[in-house]
Amino acid sequence: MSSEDKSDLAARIARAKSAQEQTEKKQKQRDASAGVSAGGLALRYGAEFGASVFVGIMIGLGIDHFLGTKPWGLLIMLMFGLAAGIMGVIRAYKELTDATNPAMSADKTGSNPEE
Amino acid sequence: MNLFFYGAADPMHQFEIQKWFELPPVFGYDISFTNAAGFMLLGVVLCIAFFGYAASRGKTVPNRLQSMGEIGYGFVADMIRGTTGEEGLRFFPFVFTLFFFILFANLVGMVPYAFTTTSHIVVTGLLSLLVIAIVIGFGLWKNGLKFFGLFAPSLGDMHILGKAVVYAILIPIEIISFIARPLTLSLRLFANMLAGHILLKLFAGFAVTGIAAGGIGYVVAPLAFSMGVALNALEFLVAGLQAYVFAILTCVYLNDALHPSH
Repeated sequence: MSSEDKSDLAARIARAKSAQEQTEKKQKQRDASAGVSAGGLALRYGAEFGASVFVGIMIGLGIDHFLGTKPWGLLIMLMFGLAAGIMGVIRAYKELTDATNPAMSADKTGSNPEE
Repeated sequence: MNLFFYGAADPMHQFEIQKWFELPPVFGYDISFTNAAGFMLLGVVLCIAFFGYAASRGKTVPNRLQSMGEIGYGFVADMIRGTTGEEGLRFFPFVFTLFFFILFANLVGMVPYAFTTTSHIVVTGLLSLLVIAIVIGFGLWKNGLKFFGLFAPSLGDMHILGKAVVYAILIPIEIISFIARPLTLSLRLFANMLAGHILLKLFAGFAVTGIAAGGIGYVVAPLAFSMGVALNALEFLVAGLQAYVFAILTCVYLNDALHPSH
């Protein structure tokens, strides 16, 4: 009787512990993704993409201005800028998923999102 | 009175630079003491006062303020250790100052009628240029020309011709994304603070004009007001979060300066 009681108690403690761990885990995930609202995300990706394209255009215009290779510098650097922008968005996305869900990125340890 | 009301209802009015007192120009530059300078100074003074008080007691069992100061210290130290490792701690004073300067500027801006210095791209832009200047300067000083390896990630085994083709595409892209860094760094802080404060002011303005208009305004005003209260809470979160984002991105960039080879 008493041993049954004990094992029952142990089972209940284990259940309560796992439940608490679960909530703690969820809380941690929520903490990590706190403030990452849809608007903030849009702003982040938008800034990442727009800034790279802007820099590409500016470099292209600069090359054209100093070397007199009008439209070609702008055209080529614009393409590089677009590519850099997409790469920046992918990096930002990776950073975010790494931050909010470390379990998913655990298999590729050492892959710094900024690399 | 009319002008005053207009100023209070205009959501952009809060971002206007006003001269508090004039100073003689230096080399043709107007260096008058403006509200931006004033509130930055206020943030710095509050910061120094806070940490001065927090550090002055040094009790074994800390009181609330000392505990807050210690948590702030540990928070920044952990952030640097987590992103750059132990050797990044030589940048601790810089990152710590940066984080708390932005945090205090954001929080001072949350006080009604205060001026939010971080909602001006001049301020955030200069901060991010400072970060990038330190990254480039320190990277070149420590690693020499190897620092430029940052732009050429290693490709592993590959034919020399293939490498040349890939690098011809990859290096310009890497250079552009490196130059875009200070831009995104400053843009994010600036845009978040600007947008948040405009929204706050707009909803507060709706509440006031709703009451003044009467009729359906009595329905709109409470809704707008409760929205303003909710946004206020969100803005406090954003104030802390954006300071954190700025500091942690600084750490990530400093990590590149410390270990440029990929």
